[in-house]
Amino acid sequence: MPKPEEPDTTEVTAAESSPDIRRRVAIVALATVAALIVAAVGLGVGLWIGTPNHPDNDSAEAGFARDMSTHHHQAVTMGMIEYRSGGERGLRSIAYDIALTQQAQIGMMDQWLNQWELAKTGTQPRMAWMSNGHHSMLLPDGRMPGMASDDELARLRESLGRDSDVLFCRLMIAHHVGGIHMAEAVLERSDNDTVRKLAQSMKDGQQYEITALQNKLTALGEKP
Amino acid sequence: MASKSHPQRGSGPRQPVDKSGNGAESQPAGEVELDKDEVSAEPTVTAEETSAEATATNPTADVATPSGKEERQVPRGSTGPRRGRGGKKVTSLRSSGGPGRKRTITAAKAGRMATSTIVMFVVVGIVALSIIGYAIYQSYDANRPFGQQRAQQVDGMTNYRQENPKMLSRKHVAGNVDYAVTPAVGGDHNEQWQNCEGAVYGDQIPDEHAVHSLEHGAVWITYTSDLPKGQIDKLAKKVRGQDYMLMSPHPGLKSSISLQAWGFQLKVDSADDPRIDEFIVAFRKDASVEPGSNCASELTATGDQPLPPQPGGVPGVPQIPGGAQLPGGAPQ
Repeated sequence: MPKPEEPDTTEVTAAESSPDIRRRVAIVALATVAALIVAAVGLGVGLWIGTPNHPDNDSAEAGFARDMSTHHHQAVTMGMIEYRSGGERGLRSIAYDIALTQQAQIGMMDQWLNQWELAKTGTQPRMAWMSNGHHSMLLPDGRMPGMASDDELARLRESLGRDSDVLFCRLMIAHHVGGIHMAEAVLERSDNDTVRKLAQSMKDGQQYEITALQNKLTALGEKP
Repeated sequence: MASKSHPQRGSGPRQPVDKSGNGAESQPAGEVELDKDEVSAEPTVTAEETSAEATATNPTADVATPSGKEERQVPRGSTGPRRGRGGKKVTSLRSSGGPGRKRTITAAKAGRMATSTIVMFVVVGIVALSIIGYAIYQSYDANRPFGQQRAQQVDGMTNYRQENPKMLSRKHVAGNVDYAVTPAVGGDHNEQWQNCEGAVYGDQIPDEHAVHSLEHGAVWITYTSDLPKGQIDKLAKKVRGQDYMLMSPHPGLKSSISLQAWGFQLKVDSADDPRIDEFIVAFRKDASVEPGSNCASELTATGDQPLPPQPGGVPGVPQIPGGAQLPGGAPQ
């Protein structure tokens, strides 16, 4: 327990109190202001860095996620029908694969939109993000290219065995062509790695599946 | 002096310390002890309070010397509890007319040291609080479930999730369900969901099936059967080609058009009402209480009665079923 050293400090009191204190106060004030500025700038930088740069509501990424989800949904429908009522075992496996894979991919795209804090439904027409301001790319009845019509779906539902196989191949090839076109469109427009990765895998995977489906048609004695 | 030799803010605070320290290298220890003894009985003050206090008093400090000084002298101790006791000590000194020189001196020196110490605490405190606050905000933000991030609110709609959450149970039941709301917006339902892949039904469909579609995230547009065809066509255009959408006429509506999502309802009188699109944007898929579930379904039949349990499958669908017709073409 060291003793306080009294003598040394004696003179300080009177001489320094007033101006010194004022200066100290000024320093503290300045330093506090400086600290606040630093903190504000730091917080701003932190927010700027920390806040992910999400695609916005009218972006190609959001449009792709929404439109491809709808496109995929119909592929799931068709895959489930063919899995149930198709004839050729290998083709039913392809259908099973398509349905499960595309349903999973719908979930991925839904989750992008969740993370981007965007609705699953856009405020622009379908595929507006692809049209570059030109006229709508939709078919007259509002379908996106490649999607089967209600009548075609109804026919597929009623088909069995070989009939289902052939119709499924034809509908799914057209469906994939439309899907690949959409995937290419987002690859041309987006630098979002997550989006690009999935879009590229869709493009590649669906291209292989088109070949597989064409081979099935040939094997079934139909023109691909 | 400080401003002359140390123009930068960063080095400013250091100056007073050097000055006071040069005559008394050993002093801090002694002061610390003294301080501690005097103060030990008082409650501890947290670092946050200290910096908050310093910040709060600062703007006026350069003018009001006495109060500013007293506040500032306080935290000198790296020794421990800072403001409360220090502040009190100094204050009592002044008011009592300065009983002891020693103490006054100590306070003055303490003030000088306090300058740098306060500054340090203020800077560190503010920056630390900012970082911690931001980190907390981030983790909170990232963990918010979807739906709380975006406002799911449309003018004039009814939110049954808030008003009557109990009616939104989700059991599978056979036969008719007595729904509290017309059309139903949720509740127990049939095990089969109505096809909702942009399905436009020209006739009534059973609520028991449609409610299951709502559970899957569909928006169900219903309208009175006497709605003009032009209006119906406008509605159908919003539905056709859109998965997670279905529409049908419905008896007993209190408005020309009524939109349903799971737990939400909006009644409007015209297909041109902009709130229809707002409702669809707000709730299509996003109102699902079973995220990831699908709208594909063999069930495309119309009628006012839910399907009875069918061990053999959906009526009209063969063993390996072809399924009923998806409604096509313009509604009647």
